[in-house]
Amino acid sequence: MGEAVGHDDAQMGLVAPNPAAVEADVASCEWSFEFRGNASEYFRIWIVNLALSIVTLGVFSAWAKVRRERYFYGNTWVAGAPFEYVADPLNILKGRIVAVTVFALYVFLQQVMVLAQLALLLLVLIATPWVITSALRFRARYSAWNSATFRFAGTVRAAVKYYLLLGILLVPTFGLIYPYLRAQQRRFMVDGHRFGGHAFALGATTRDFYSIFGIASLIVVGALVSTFAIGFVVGGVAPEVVAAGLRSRNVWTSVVRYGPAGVIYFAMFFGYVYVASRVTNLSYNTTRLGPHGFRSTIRMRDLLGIYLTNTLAIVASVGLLIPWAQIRLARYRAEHLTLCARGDVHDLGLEAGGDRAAFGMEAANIFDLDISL
Amino acid sequence: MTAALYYDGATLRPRPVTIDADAATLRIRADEFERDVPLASLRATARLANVRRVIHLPDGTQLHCDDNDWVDRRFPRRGFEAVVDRLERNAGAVTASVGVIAVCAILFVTVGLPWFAKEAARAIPESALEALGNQTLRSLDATIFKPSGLEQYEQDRVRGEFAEFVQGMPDPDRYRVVFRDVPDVTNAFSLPGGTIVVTDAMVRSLPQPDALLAVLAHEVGHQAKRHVVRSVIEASAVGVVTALFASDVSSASAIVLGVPIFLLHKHYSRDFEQEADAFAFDTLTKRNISPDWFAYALAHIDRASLAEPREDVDDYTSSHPLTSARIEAARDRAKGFEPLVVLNAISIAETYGSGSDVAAAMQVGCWVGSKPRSDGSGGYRWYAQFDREGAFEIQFSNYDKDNKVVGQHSEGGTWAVRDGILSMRITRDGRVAPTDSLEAYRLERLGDVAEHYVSVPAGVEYDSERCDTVVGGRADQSS
Repeated sequence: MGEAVGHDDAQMGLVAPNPAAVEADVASCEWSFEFRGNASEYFRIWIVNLALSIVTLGVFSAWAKVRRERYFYGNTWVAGAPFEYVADPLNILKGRIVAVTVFALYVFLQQVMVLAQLALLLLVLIATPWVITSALRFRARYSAWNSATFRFAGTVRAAVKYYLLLGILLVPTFGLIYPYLRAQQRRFMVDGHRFGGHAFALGATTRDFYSIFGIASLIVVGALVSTFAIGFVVGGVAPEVVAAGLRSRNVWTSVVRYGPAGVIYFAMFFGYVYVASRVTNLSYNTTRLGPHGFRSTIRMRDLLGIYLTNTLAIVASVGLLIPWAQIRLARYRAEHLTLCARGDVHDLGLEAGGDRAAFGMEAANIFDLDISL
Repeated sequence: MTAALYYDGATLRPRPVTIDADAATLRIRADEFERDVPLASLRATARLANVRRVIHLPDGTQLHCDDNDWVDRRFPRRGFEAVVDRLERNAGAVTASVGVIAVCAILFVTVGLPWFAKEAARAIPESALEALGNQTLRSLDATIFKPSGLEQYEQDRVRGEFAEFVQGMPDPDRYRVVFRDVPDVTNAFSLPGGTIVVTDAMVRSLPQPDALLAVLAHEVGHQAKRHVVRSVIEASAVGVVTALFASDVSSASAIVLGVPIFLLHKHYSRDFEQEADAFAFDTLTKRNISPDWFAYALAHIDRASLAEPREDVDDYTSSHPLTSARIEAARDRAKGFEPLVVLNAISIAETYGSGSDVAAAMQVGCWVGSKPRSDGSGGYRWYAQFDREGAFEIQFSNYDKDNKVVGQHSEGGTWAVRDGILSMRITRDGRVAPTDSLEAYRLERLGDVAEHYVSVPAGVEYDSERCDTVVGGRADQSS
């Protein structure tokens, strides 16, 4: 949410939009999101902030994070206005210190004491619903558009249900309820958000999620089956190839040893990107904000290409192309998202909201919890 | 004067205005709208590329303005974010940042992190490490370890030799050797707090006391330098730092972070192995044991693990430095010691790079050896004679503290060299009652193991009438 932006040619310059243009544009229903950032500009910001974060032993990283978020929010435009990230770095620094401490403890225990680590893991697991809820609250509270901030109204109690209880139920149901779980989590996230006096509402059904995950499983299972089938055929027709591959160190070694793992990994990646693109489209396309809707047209093959080339570019450039990769992804996402306004989007009101502690946000970040919308 | 958007705090609809300011007052003007506010009551967001600036008015209303320079003139920023912005727009600063990051990354990896881990490890009290080690041992016992199948006297022998070995080191009581059966694993490893786990296969495959001591010396090196806890701290720190900066990488690409972490971890373990090796060479030399025994043990373990399928080895990804390089280092340190001749199921030609020692062994005809006990209460010697027809005979003599022979027995059998390997099979055991557990061990080993080794000190007294050639080995500490 709030990562993309729309535009209006009349407002491309640095001058403030003029009222006539605003009036004319709201007459049309479709506002494409637009990303105005560029890689060279962001590279300079990224590298300077990274260097400062390092020489200040991480203290500056809170400011770096705010500048990074401000850059992406501020360059994402829709309906003639950019998004805005308004969090206070000091808040983030505090949250970050606590989160890093907990995480360091966790990693340390992971290395030394299996039992204590399990206990802490359990603790983290139990805290997950709270962490996710407060992260969503924090991010919504400090995301703004046209001077108005978002709000997240989802409760920890609901999060316990969707993130903890359903998660436990995955085991006895052999994962069959996973699409249901994802649908519920998505509904929790979307429906909990408020903007301008309206709640976001997800229209997607559980059945939609089942068909997405059904196809994704077919992709992964198909890859598994064909890998094993090829293995059986090769092993049957030319067992000496397999044997030679396992024994000696030549090109066959890599193919025989790592080939199947590679195929399976790629199939998982394929399935992941399929789910990511379809769920994104489904979520946006069925989400309503008051009278307004969205249209998302992300294509799986585009996303796959971007992820693969981004990864290659990052590896080949020893990380220097990370900003380029991020900008590219943000631009693609923005360009494939449209706001379908019925009437004037500016008729939405303002949400009130108090300050939020950043620990949940930082904990979610460092423990890599998925709170993306 | 510049253009801006005025948000009244009640609606999302911006009112296009012009803003102008003098020294004290900001004037907001539009058709049928005007508002003046004191400049001192306003707060503007920091400059960042072309991101729209927001000026917060005290009553919650906002002005949004794209004219960065105008905002900067009216709101000269104090504080470091203004400096950061200037750096971001300065080509020199950007280039310098790349350099700073590269230098810091290299320093962090090569100096900072190892130093931090070392200091942090030193700060952890010994009792905590012991508790940690016991905990780890318990969980390993519950999972992959099985109770040792070694006889008590075998364990006692190794413990005795080890206790003698660590005498004179600072805090020798902190080290403890435990035996466990881990099928197909020929290895020894260190747990935090001084515990060294030795697998049965390791003890069985290295019956030569000095070879096993060389391995244990390496483990003591790990213990003395607190390598286990240091590597734990390093791995944790790498994890935390990576997680901190991982938010800079898109999640699908985060997997590429695994590669440098993996290499880093291997790099640190390699440094630790080298440090432990150096420690082992030093202590072995001090105890008058040839570091060549370490080379021998390494080659032996390497061969044992070769039986399992092996990952491709290269210098970059292996946690232990290449075995050949370590053997080479041990050889270097063994200069000045009598060359070692170990004859058993290992191909000597392969281990030592030449077949000349084997050839020498076949010419020798006789070996002599002695083993004094550390407490000065005597020891034993043996004489072994070989004939060209493939028969041999060994005579053992126990002596007391006055060097007086108090018991004797002899054994005999056949020997053969095939493919550079000397095998000895004992077919006749004329044993007499063993005088202590050490001796009992010897007899057991000779009785049930087809291959045996002979290691003989140079310059040790021997019966020249029966033996005229000696192949060297451990110097006799009592002589």
